[in-house]
Amino acid sequence: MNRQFSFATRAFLLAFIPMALTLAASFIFVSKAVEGRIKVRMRDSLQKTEEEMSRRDADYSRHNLRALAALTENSSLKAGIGLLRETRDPALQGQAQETLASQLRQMAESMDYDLLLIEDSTEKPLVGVIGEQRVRLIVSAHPVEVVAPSLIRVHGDLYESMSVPINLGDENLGILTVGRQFNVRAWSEFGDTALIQNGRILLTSFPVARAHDAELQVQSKCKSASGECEVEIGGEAFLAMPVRQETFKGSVRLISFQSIDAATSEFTRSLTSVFSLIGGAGIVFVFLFCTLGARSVAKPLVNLVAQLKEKGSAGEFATELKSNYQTAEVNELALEFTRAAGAIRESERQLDEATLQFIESMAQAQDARDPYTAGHSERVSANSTAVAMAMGLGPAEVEIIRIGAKLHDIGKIGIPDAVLRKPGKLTRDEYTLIQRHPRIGKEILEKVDRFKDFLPIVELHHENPNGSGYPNGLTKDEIPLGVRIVHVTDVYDAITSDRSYRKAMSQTQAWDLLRKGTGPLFDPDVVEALWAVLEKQQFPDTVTRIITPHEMDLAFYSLPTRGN
Amino acid sequence: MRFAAFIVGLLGLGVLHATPVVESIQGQLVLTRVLTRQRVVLPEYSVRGVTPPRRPDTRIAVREWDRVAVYLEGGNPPKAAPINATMTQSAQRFDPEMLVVPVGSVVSFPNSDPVFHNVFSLSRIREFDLGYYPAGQTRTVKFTAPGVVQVYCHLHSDMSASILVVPNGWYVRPDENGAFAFSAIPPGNYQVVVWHRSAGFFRKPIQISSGTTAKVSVEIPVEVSETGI
Repeated sequence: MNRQFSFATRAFLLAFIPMALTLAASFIFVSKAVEGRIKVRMRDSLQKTEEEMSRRDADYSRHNLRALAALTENSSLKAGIGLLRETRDPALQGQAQETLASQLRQMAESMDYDLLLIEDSTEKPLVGVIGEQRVRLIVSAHPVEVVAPSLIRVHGDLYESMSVPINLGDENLGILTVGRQFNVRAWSEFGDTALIQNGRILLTSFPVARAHDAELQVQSKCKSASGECEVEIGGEAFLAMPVRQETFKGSVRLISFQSIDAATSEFTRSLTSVFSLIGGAGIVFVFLFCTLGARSVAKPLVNLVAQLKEKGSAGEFATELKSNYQTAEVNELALEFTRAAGAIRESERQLDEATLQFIESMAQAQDARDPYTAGHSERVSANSTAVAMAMGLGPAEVEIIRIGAKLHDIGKIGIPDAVLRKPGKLTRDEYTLIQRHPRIGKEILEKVDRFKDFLPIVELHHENPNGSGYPNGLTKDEIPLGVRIVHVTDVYDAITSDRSYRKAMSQTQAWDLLRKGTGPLFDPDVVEALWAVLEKQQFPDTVTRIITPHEMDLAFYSLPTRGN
Repeated sequence: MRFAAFIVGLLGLGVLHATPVVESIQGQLVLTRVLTRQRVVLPEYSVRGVTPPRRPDTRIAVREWDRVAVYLEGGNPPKAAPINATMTQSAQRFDPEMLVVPVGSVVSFPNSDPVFHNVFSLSRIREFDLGYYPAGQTRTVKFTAPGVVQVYCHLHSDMSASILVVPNGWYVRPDENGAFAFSAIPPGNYQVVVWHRSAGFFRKPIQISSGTTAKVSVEIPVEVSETGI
């Protein structure tokens, strides 16, 4: 079975969910777009930085080279080289090298280099000093390995190097190479850096745990030597870009790794808070809007339903629904419902009337079984009605009494003609059979819910106030007033009518009988009222209908006459 | 002046070997590779960020034969008469840039430039520093031991010259084709010593028979063991 929601809930959900989804989707889209923009910007800025860095690098190199070239114009240095060259005695060669080394040390004092090296014109290392302490480099033991145009490896360390020729007159004496130990961190002002040769990391600022990851990523993703690429190291996204490409080229690349995530978060942190604020406020606004909107849309219908329920709990169909809502459809619904309910009520009324007429007909037919009792029920009804009205009962009670009186002997249908129409005295068994008719009548009528109001009259109209009646032997207080009225008028009509076994009593005789029984058998108030009624009628022998049943029905239902 | 010294040397030889001796050495030097690496200059910087490749400065052609001297060792060489040679400082160069003098010779270093010079040498056989002196003045140095003396100027780092102090009178300088000759050498076993300013010493044994002219061809650098002087 489908889940049921109230109209307001449905309206709310249908409005709120798409709006919330739209908001969320646009938030995600915008943040993605921003991230993309940031990536592009970052790439641009990196490229610009790289260009600027290259330019500065070149400038720096050029000036440095000039300065260095000037430094080699040093006759002592040249004399030292000459000395070393002319010294063939191995024992003395050490001295000559030391002489030159001390000159290099002096030069190093005024310059910030980690390595100074002199090679002869065939690029054979002659002498060098290395490190903070300017230790003389044993050049034969540590050949100079050229890794890249400006990158050499000496003594296992990488140096960023620069070389200038040493000339003497027309001759080239050799090369002076100066170098600073390559510090990969110096190039990682805003990110990590790795120096890579043929896909292997030589040096990196990455921690050891990430270095291997970085190596694999660069091998697999950064095939192009010059282009940038995106790699993921330790779950973090990086933009990898070769820097200082003029300096580091050939098999060597210096790659700068910029954390995209870090840059993005930096940029988006503020944006995110703004977006969150807008998004949050939007959601709240949408929520309120949807709630109020849904409620407002559903309100007429909810009110209509409430009206229906209220009437429904009162056990009746709503025939007078308000139709002044602001929603046209709901008004139409209310009008249609009112119309339908009216039709149903009319049908019900017609059915009731038909049923009643049918039952009355049955009662009349029952009366007609015995010529002596024909018209009996009609007369009892008329008198009872008059008495009830005289006693000041309400119209509803009067109506119950009127109809109840018409039906009071319906139970006689179940009594055989032989007993019912028997002339002369009844045997005890026959009398017992006759006494069953109130019960039979009750059993007939109680099948129809509509007749439940008449049941006391049908069942109890032979009960006497002193408890000597049948079928239950109730006493006065236990017998409803309406029943007592019918009881008296029934007896009056019976004794003032002919019977097969006797003649009708005169009015005087009848009154004597009634008066005698007043109290134990008849309700004194009722007898009094009957007397007053009969007096007023001026027709003591003929009881006629004062009010037509039809008119009484109309009074009872207080409805307009059908067709009028 | 270089040529003057050369002529002086030849005259000296001629004087020493005036007696008619038929034995002589005809020699030819062959340079198997360039011994003097030409001066290189830094190129103009049109390329950014590149360490410039060194390239030869083509303005000056180094004449290799001017940088070579030959002398003989062994036997009983005649004692060379000391000479007075001159190495002028002119146009911020030494002139000549190479001198060959026998032991005991005196070399004077007159300054003919309108600027100061400071001639010095770190060479072990004769370390000297003549100090600053202006134009017109001259200082002299006597060389009493054989060997190579490299001469520089403290003020002008590009100035340099070499003085080869030879132990005896048997020394020559090759002609522009690398040919050289010794005359009036007694028969016996000798070593031809070739000295190149940049490449250093090269030696080759030679035997001179009586009444013959020995021919020798020396390829430098030669695959012989080199020993210090």
